Amino acid sequence: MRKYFVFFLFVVVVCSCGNRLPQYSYEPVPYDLGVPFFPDSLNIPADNPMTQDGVRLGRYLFYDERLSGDPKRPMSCATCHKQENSFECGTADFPDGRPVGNSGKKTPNVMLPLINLVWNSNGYFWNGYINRESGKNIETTVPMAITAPHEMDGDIDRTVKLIKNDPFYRELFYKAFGTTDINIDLISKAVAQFVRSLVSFNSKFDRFMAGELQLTKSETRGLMLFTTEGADCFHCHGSPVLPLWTTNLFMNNAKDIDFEGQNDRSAITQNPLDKGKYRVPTLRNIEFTAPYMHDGRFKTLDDVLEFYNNGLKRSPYIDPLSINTNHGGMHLSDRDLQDLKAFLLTLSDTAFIHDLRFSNPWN
Amino acid sequence: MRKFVFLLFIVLLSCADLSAQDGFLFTFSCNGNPLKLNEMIYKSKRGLTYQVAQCQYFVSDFALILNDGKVNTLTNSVHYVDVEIPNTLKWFPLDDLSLQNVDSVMFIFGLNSLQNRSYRFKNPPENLMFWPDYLGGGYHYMKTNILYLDADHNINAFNCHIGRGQVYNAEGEPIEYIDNDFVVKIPVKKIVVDGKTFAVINLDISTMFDYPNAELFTDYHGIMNNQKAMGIFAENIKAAFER
Repeated sequence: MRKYFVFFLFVVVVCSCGNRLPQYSYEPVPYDLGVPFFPDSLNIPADNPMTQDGVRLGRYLFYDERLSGDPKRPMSCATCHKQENSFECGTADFPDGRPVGNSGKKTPNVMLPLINLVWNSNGYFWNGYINRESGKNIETTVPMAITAPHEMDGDIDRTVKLIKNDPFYRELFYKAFGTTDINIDLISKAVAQFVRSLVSFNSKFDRFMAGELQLTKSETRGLMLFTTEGADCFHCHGSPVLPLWTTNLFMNNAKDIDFEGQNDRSAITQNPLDKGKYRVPTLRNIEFTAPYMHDGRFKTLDDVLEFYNNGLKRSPYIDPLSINTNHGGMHLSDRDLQDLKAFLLTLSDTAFIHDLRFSNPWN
Repeated sequence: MRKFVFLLFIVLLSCADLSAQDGFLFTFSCNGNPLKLNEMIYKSKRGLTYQVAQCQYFVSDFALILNDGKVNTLTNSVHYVDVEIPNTLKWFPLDDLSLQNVDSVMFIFGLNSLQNRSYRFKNPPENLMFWPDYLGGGYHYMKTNILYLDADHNINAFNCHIGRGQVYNAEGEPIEYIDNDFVVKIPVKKIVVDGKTFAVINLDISTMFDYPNAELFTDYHGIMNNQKAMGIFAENIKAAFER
């Protein structure tokens, strides 16, 4: 009898030991971006391939207000990067387009939308501060956002501790990275994977290109103006064959004549020729991303069009592609401007801003 | 033993021959001197001062004309040249390209009508050369972008952009397209860089704006929808390679 009891105890011990082993497995499945007609060169670091579980984990973290590391001052990436604004902040909470961080400080510039970043290998931020040449990528921006005073103003150790202490995350991390040893590198990698998954390719114009619908006469005329030297938008912002609607280059678009104190491209390259240069932003979802330009100086699309029509300023630093600067602007008629705007609005991807895959998983 | 050394020598020599890989070197000049980018130092025939900011172009369908008149065609060869991207300035189209016995080089400036189709290039920098479908589609053969000072010393921009041209109807809509690609033939000029032999293909930017047509930037706003202007510049660009 005693013998049986010892055997029974042995079985119980073995079984309970078994319970302590992870019940989940690490079987990474590559994440499919599912976009048929975009460039095939992707900006994905070799040490952070996109997987379904990595993107899933990143989505939870992106929307997790514990990321600030301070329960009294909760803040997540999504506090400012809002899906309804193409992952910019919009003007509802921040009228000038510049979010206020946990320290009360404002961001130096307005935000850029977090869409289709996986196809950009030319550096991130308005001046390209985050670039592969300096070993920085989207992963780098996560600890930056946690600690920057104008963002979460937090402490990385406390962030890691909060995430680590939630048993819910253990399974997610194990499935994403094959470990439950949670640290800032893995947090950053997961968030970066989610950000890379934010792809927009279902605008009215995309559906027109797929032969699913027709554009109105006004939209068609706007496209024609956009892609000829009449308005000459296409050299910087792309065309149907460059469906990101940005070249991702850095250009001086003749907004200013004085560049003192600007945190522009020259601040990164130390090349004085890069004064006044900023990233050409995508025009996808431009409807949802007011205000415009790096400093948000234009509140509406009409303001932007008026600037390009009559407000271009000459300087030795203008981009040589901006031939309309020779005459101060495009000088299009009111009807032309309306048509151009009608075309720009066809680049709105409402499916993207309502896509549940990108929404808050905690809701 | 002597026989063996001799044989070894022959083998080494033939190995060296096999590893020989000649290529093309793309260079830029202005008034015959190496081009200096972004310096307002050049004067046009019409007396305007200008600086060159960017120059990007496609060349394709290369052929080598040998001393005995035979022609070696490099099938489907297409190359993108960008004055600001060093790795586009040296091109090795074949693993075993030899410039020995080559008399001259022939190529198409731009892309021929069959090769010049939209969506051909998916990635930068080549895909940034797209030519809007409304204007005929395909790709820019060339983008040369300059800044110049006008008579009042104001900064102005000019874009010498060549691609498919258009014929417009009375309503101003394009009804026909014209390919502006052309053949360039130049005697081979060899240069050795880092132990490699290159055939030099030089583009003289000042010729582009001055010869044979002294049609310059102030005559036009943009030229992409102006077949006459593109024709004039195409003539000058041919001279800029061949002169």
